[in-house]
This record gives sequence, C-alpha cells and structure tokens, in this order.
Amino acid sequence: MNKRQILFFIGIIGLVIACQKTDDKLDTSLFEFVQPEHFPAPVYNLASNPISKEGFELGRKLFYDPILSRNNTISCGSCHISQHAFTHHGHDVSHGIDDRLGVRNSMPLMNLAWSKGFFWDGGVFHLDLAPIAPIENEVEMDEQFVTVLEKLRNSKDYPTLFQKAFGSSEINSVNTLQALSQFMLLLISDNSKYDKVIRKETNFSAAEQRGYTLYQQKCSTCHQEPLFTDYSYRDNGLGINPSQDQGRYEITGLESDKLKFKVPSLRNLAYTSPYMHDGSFITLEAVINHYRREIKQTDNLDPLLRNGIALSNMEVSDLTAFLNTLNDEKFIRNTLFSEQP
Amino acid sequence: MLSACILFSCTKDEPTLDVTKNGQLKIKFDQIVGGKKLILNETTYTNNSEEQFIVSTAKYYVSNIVLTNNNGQSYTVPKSESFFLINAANSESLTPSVLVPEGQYTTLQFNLGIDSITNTLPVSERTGVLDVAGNDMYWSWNSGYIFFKLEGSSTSSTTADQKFRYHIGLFGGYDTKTVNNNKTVVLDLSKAGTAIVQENLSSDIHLMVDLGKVFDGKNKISIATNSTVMTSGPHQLIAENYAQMFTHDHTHNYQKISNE
Repeated sequence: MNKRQILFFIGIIGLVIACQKTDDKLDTSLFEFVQPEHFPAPVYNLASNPISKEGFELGRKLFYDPILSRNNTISCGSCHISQHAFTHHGHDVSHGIDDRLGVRNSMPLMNLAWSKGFFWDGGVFHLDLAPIAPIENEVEMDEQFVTVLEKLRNSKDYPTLFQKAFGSSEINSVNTLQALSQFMLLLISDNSKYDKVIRKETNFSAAEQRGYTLYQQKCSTCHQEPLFTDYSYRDNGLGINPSQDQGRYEITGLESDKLKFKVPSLRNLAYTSPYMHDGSFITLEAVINHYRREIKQTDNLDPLLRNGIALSNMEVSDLTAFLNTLNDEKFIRNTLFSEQP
Repeated sequence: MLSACILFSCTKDEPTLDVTKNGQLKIKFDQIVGGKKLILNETTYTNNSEEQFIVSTAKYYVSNIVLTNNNGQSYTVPKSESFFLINAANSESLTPSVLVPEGQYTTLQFNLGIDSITNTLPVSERTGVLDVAGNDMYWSWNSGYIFFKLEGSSTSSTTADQKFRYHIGLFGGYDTKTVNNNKTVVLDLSKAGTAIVQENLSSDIHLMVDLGKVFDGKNKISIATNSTVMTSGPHQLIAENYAQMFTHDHTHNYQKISNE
C-alpha cells in the first residue's frame, strides 16, 4: 500500500466516523423533548424523568406489549392506535380483554406533557400513574400491576432493556411507569397547518381564517389555544347516557360535578372519530349540531352553553375548514411512535 | 415493706433521660373483634345488628406519628420513617417501631390513612408500603391510597358471593376539595402506662384494635344494608368508626432489643 492509498483509507475511515457521529446526533435528537415555541411550559416535570433513547424505546415496547394484560392479549396500543392519534378509531367504547366493553371512548394520547389530569374524569393527576388504571381495570387489561412487574422480571428481554434504560436490570413500579411516560411524553402533536400558520410558515385560506375567527368567538373559552383544551371538566349538555356515567362526580362525589367530563382537545379530529366521552357522535357535523340545537338543560350545564352555539350553515362550513387545520398528519404517520416490527 | 423497696429501687434506678439520645418505641397493634381475638378466616363474630361474619382481610395505614412527653413537648417522627401498613395477615407488620428521643411519653398520636401530600408524591418516592404495586392498597382509577380495608363473609351480605368489602380512602382531592377520610388518633398513655424511652432499650406500647367498632362505633353499620362500601355509600361514617378502634392497653418499658 503506498502513501496515497493509506491516506485514502484514512480519509474513508474519517468519513465513516464522521457519518456515524452525525447519525448518532440525529438519532438522539429524535428522543429529546423539544418544547414547541408556541406551547406553554409543560406541566410534567421533565427533570424528574429524563428522556433517553433507551427509555423511550423501552416505553414503546411496553406500550405495545400485551404482557401488560391478564391473558397477554391486550396492549395499550390495542385501544390507542398511533395512526388514529392513539384513539380506538371506529369504536364508541373500547372492547378490552375477553371483548368486555367499557363505558367510555378511549382518549387520544397527545401532548400529554401539558395535561393536568388524565382520563375523561381526571381521576389520575399524574402521567406516571396513568397506565395503572387501564392495566387494573377489569374491562380493559384486568391485570394486577404487581403481576405485570413479575412477568417483566421473568421475561427474556426486559431485564436487559431496563439495564440499558435505567442502568439497572431491576424492574419495579417506578422505572416501569417512568419508561411508559418517556414514550408518551414524546407524543407531541405540533405540526398541524394551524401550528405552521402560528409559526408563520404558511397562511390560512379565506374559509379557514373565517373559521378561526368563529372558533375564537365561540369555542375558545373551553378549547383554548394552542392545546385546544383548558383541561377543565364541564357538562356540555349531552345528558345522562344508558350506562349512567356521571363523569367527574365519580371521582369527587360532588353534586356539582355530575355529568362533567374533561374538555377534549380539538387537535387531530379527522383521525379520532367517534367523539364525546361515550363515542356517541360519529361525525364532526353531528358534534357541531349538538352545540347548535341539541343541548340538554342539565343541572350542571355549562353556563356558556345554556343557549347553545348559534352558527349559520355557512359558518359551520368555515368552522369545519378551520378545525381541519388542526389535523397533524406528520404526528399520525410518525413511525417512531408506531409498533416496531 | 416489699412494695416500698421496689418503689425505692425504681426511683433510685430511674435513668436521667437525655433528649439528645434516641431510644426505640415499639407499637403493638393487637387486633380484636368485640371481646374476641381476631383469627382470620376462622372465628365467627356477631355485630350489634345481629349479623354473623368472619374476617378475611384487615389492613390499614398508620402514619405521621407524634409523641408528647410529660413536659408537654412533642416529637414528630420524620415523615419518611413514619409510614406503616398494618396487615392482620402479616405478623411482622403488627409491631412497627420508631426511634425517638429519650423521654417519658404520655400521648401517642398518629394518622390513620395517608395524608394528601403523600398521596400526591412523585412515583419515584412511592416505595415500600407506599409502592403502588404489590400492597393492594391503591386505587388506580381514582388515584389515591386505600387507608383501611376490611373484608370477610357473612350470610347477611347481599352480594352474590356473600362477602362484605369495605375499602375506605379519599384524601381530600388533588385540585378539587373532596372528602378526606384521614383520621387523627390521639391516645393518652398516662393511665395504662407512660412510655419511657431510653437509649438501647425499647418501650413497647400495646394497643388493642377493635375491628368490631367498624360496625358498632359512633355509627351503626350493618352488613345487610352496606355489603360493599368504597368511594360511595357511608364511607365517612366508617371512617368515623375506625378512628375509634384504638385503645391503649399497657406498656412494657425498658425492654431489651434483640439483635435480629
């Protein structure tokens, strides 16, 4: 080998190393929590559970693993499908283990770092504690959380994966829940057309702009920008449903909380049908018509809805155009979030 | 003459208590039902509603222990060392001990339950008896600890399996003020035996815990009317009752600590 050849080879090696470095850099940045500029500060204390690639991947594996259920058939991902913004698209209420039916529509999982309460009734106040509820719910995964930990400890792969993520192969409730949170925290949806307009990367069409103005006048008190919810619990005049679900009341026991449910975000509505806590509305049109003319005068009806929301047909069309700017295709197509082969 | 001698010798030997030194204080929780010992899954008991029952589970949290000495000074056991899950099925859990400064303690106070701050701790701080997995004392859907659990069977029960289940919790709410079933229990130790805590020795406080009070305390609870009580039904009345379960029976002072 002459000098030139050696130099050539060194050059190649250098290039390979440089490439790897860049790749690694790109790779890890995908697993960082990137604060969207137009979002408020997260509610979740990220310092308490620093996100790593290994932690995220472990969380994702757990999320899609039916080992979390009693008979190893149902995973979190069974009812929270990434292509549908992590809802159970097409199901009013989800069928869990043994095809048992719940009473509520599975909520989308997105922008959870900003959430102050979890589930339709806010019965859980911290993301880390949220997964235990579906695991232990007898119509969802019907498993004891302690048994899940035991199954993970006895599995072939998990001790190594926990070792990689947390520096110890010990599997306990803390690191299991933190891994799941690391995955869920990165489910950030901030690339809808609305977000691009806010970032001044594009503009609304005339109809979308008119719809945005209508939204600001008639919807934004509850569905506040930029997350499109104020995370409050309200009675939106649906009335009591056949399963007698009293919502927030079942957590607080307060009469004033009867029929109150969490205000859901308006993001990604194109992928998350059916709507409302019981999934009783199939189309967005039906939802808008509910607010226009089907409000029930229940005891705790939100005062803002007492007279319904007046909208002309033209306005409905504009509002719908705006709502469609809240769909984030990049989010639902992100293969990092879906089940890995 | 003999008793005078004993008194004399006691006075003579009485140690000078030094608050800079710590000694052990052990609390023995002895479960009974009415006038009978608790034997799980075996003994039949009868409440004042003339209902017969057996007990299969009796568990409760004791936390935030505070002791007051004969000078009126209080000592609060550091919070992290002050959580205990008393479980009738686990004999090791029935005699928790804490380290406290030397002194003559005339009042024992503790919380039956888990306070609101602890109920909202980050998951990383929920270990041991506070672990959300494995203790069977945590509600996942309405996040919070179950403070008190009493289960058993009774022919008076209206459930299909003829069981009764009382799971009482609720810490007052995270962002909405709700029911708080934590109960402070204050016991005067001076009548049945002041606890004298001394370095390298243990003062063992023996409490009787009458689970029968759950049915026949301040409020009358019948199994037929209330076979299952959790977050609905008379949970507040049961909480008022469990606050009354404890009586101080006696104290053994100057006990040697075995080196287990």
